Amino acid sequence: MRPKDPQDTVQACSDIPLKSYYTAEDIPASHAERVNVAPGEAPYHRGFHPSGYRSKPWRIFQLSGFGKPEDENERIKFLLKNGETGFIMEHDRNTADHCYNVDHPEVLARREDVGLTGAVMQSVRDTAICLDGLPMDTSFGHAGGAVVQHAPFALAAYWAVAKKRGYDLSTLAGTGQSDFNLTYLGCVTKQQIPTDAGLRFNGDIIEFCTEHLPRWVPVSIAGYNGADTGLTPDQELGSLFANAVEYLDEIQLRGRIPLEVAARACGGVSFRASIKIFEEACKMRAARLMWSDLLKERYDIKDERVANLRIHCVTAGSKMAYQQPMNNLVRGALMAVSAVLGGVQSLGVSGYDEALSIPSEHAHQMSVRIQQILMEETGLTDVTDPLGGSYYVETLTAQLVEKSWAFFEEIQTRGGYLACLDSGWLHAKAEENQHKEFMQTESGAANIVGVTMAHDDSSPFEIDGFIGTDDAFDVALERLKEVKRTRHEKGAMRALKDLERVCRGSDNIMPVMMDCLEAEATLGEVGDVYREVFGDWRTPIQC
Amino acid sequence: MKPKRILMAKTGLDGHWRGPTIVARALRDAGFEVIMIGMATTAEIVAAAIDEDVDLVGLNIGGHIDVALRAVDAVQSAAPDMPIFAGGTIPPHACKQLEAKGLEVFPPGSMLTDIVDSANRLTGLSTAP
Amino acid sequence: MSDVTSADWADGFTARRALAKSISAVESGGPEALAIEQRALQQPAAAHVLGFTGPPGAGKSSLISALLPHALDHYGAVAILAVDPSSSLTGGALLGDRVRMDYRHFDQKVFFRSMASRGYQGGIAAATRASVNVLDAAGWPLVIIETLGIGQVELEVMDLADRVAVVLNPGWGDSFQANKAGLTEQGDAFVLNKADRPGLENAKILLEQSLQCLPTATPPGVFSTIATDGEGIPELWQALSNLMQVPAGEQQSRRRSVAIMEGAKAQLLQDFDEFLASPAAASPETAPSEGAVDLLQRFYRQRD
Repeated sequence: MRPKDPQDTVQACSDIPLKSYYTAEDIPASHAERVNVAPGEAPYHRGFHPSGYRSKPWRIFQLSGFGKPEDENERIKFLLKNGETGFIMEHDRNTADHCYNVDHPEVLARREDVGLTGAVMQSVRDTAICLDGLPMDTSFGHAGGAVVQHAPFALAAYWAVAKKRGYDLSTLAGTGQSDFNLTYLGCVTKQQIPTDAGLRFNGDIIEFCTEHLPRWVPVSIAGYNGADTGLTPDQELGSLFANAVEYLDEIQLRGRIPLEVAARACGGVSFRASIKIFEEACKMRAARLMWSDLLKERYDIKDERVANLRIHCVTAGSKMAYQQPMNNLVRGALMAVSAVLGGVQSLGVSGYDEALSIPSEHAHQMSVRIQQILMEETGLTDVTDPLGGSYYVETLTAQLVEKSWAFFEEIQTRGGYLACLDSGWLHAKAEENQHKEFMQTESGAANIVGVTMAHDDSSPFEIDGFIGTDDAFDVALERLKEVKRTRHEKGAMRALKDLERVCRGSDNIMPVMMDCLEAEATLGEVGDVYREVFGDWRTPIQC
Repeated sequence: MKPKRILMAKTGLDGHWRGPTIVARALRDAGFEVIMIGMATTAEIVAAAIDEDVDLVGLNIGGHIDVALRAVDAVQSAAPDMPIFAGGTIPPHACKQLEAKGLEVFPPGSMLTDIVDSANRLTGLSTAP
Repeated sequence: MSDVTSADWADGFTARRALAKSISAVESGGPEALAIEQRALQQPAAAHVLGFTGPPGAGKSSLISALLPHALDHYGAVAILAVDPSSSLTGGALLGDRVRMDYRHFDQKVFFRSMASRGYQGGIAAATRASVNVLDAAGWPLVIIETLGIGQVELEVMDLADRVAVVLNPGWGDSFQANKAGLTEQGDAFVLNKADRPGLENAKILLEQSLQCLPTATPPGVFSTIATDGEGIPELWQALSNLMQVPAGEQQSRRRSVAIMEGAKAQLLQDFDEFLASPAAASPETAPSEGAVDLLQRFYRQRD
């Protein structure tokens, strides 16, 4: 986007006007004193560790999986072999997001979709196949369970497999997700437990982990889906910390574990890395600053270690174009650069075929290569917070912080993050922005190379959508029948009955969920309990 | 002049709602009555198309093309005169299959003005190509 | 809803399409619409008509969805007409009531039609009344009407429906003046949906106090529900179905007289419009007031 006249205003995505150049005078007074802190000093906008990437590179962490659990296993092994340094289990949306088994009528009606966006894992046996030969103990695994109602099942399945393999849960590292922005804002499923039940689940997961899996990141407070659905960077920040406050307040209310411990666990967050390079890097710096201030000012937490905000980033899927997919390699690389300049701890780069399908092997490989090039060849890892001290970056960081807190406060006056999800207020904000963004493209005020301009494509490569396998449904159906036929039926039924009792009460759900997985209860049976006990969330949007 | 009615349905169980909402809103702003039925099976789509007596069926497609093709076949069989258009994450091979059935297809990057023009044309409000 | 193929529905579709198209014709207005309605009125009125009104966000759609299985058990088939506002700027509309329904209960025994208000001010669409009569004539035993949801003075549903349920939420007193809107005088049952929200007891008390002021012997009932998990739904249905035991004659004559009146008015307007377009309407130079009287006299003379 180029303005016609240098005097015309240019706005950052957060609606902050950008000057054509910055000087020291532009840095707001409130932030000026903080400019000269070193990385490793509060409020940590410059990073938590002075040695930055010199001592620990970011984790190369790619979303992966489709088809049968063995197909996902194969793709994860491919990525690990190619250089990723953690692995993420993707679950089939039709089943996992809804906690349906493949024989549910809604799934049957769409049987060919099964396995397209993730592997089908209906019981602990499937999870074991998916994790076969994977370095659960030495690598960093993401168990999946991005959707809130799926999280307890996905986590328990992973941990049950780990236990069976003889790993000590108290030293097992990895992460869950149970992401409110994904579940209730960005990707509204056909059926879902209400937000208050979701909060209960996440409180339980946090408490369970602090007691039994201290190295595990229980949930990941995530901005990605808020942002990719339309929230601007300041709104992404504001809503993410409003989400964090819901969890911390819940833990405080329960009074069972020290707040610092929970805050430390909740300090694993994730953001979207979009394509406005400087604004996105500022966003990460702003995030660390806001977390540090939030803990001290709102919760009076003095332990500095808790302020270590570990950020995972995923590059914006919505910025990947359908036309001229090769251009997306550049986009992915640049978004990755902004994340690295922002000092993130973990990164996933979207595939160049993102607008067409889940990534092909080659696209996945390229996502890893991009990160390796940044790491090995560019010198980006040599200096911590290289943008620190830039008049522009410090000004924009400060302005972002201010705007984000204002959005955070607005959420609080409207009853908090959960209330804003239930009422549809956040959805309305996202929609407003989506519309604005689309209008900018439609009117020609914003350009997308290859889409609104530069249509000529001499690429010799024919890139089509990746379609995974075609036997995911059939095999899943067979395996479902097999599990039900060969498991200890009484044990499974008893575990499910216990689950229902716990769901209706207030005991922690995770121990009984572990029992369910170990007794080989299936995903759909667990989902049926939820539907019976919690009912369905009333979605504020109709689409 | 009575407004034309457009049905918008999602054939998959994927909950991303960004795309459909923007299109629905653009169509509403262009004077259409948009009946959004969300994630719906083939039978639900056909029932809605018939009972709502829509002038155009819009499918948001995001998964395996066979799921969408089933819905297309069912609508075309129940109401051969009812036009259908489609949008969403539709890879090139799938676009071709939909076009072969007579649909206009709008993959990501499509302009809203083109979608609205198509709706006008398919519902008989304009004759421009 | 089972994943039936079109072949299974082959015969059903023809009749169904015809019904749907006659409702579209009625929506289009004009002589064809009138003719269709007059034809429908030749059948004896048998359908029960149940209206749901209340402010936007009250959960009318979810409530209807929750009541639907009970209604189907009782009546065997149910038609639903759900009205949403048209944009006064563009004439378009987003009709999002259907998506709130639980489609599992949708089969040939359920007919759901989304209707845009198209500028009509009564809280329903201009064609809603005629659509009710068309559905009645086609044999649908229960027609549910879901109004626009603004609920202020748009209360035409009260004339059209046999019984009307007013749907509110806890906290209604703060944001919505049901008494001023006249709803307390005209609702046959009051539902406090989203009963899990804070303020339920106060909302109930406030409502019951308003209803006590009515001149009727027994005030309408107040029911608490949580539509999304079924709480209070069977009790509400029981009460509504009791209320719906209306003598057939009463509903028939009321609906008929309203239809005749509206039909006559629409016809009259149409005849006058035709007259205005004809050469006989050309007026000589006179003062405006005299011009109006003169015009009407020429219209009446022309009809003789």
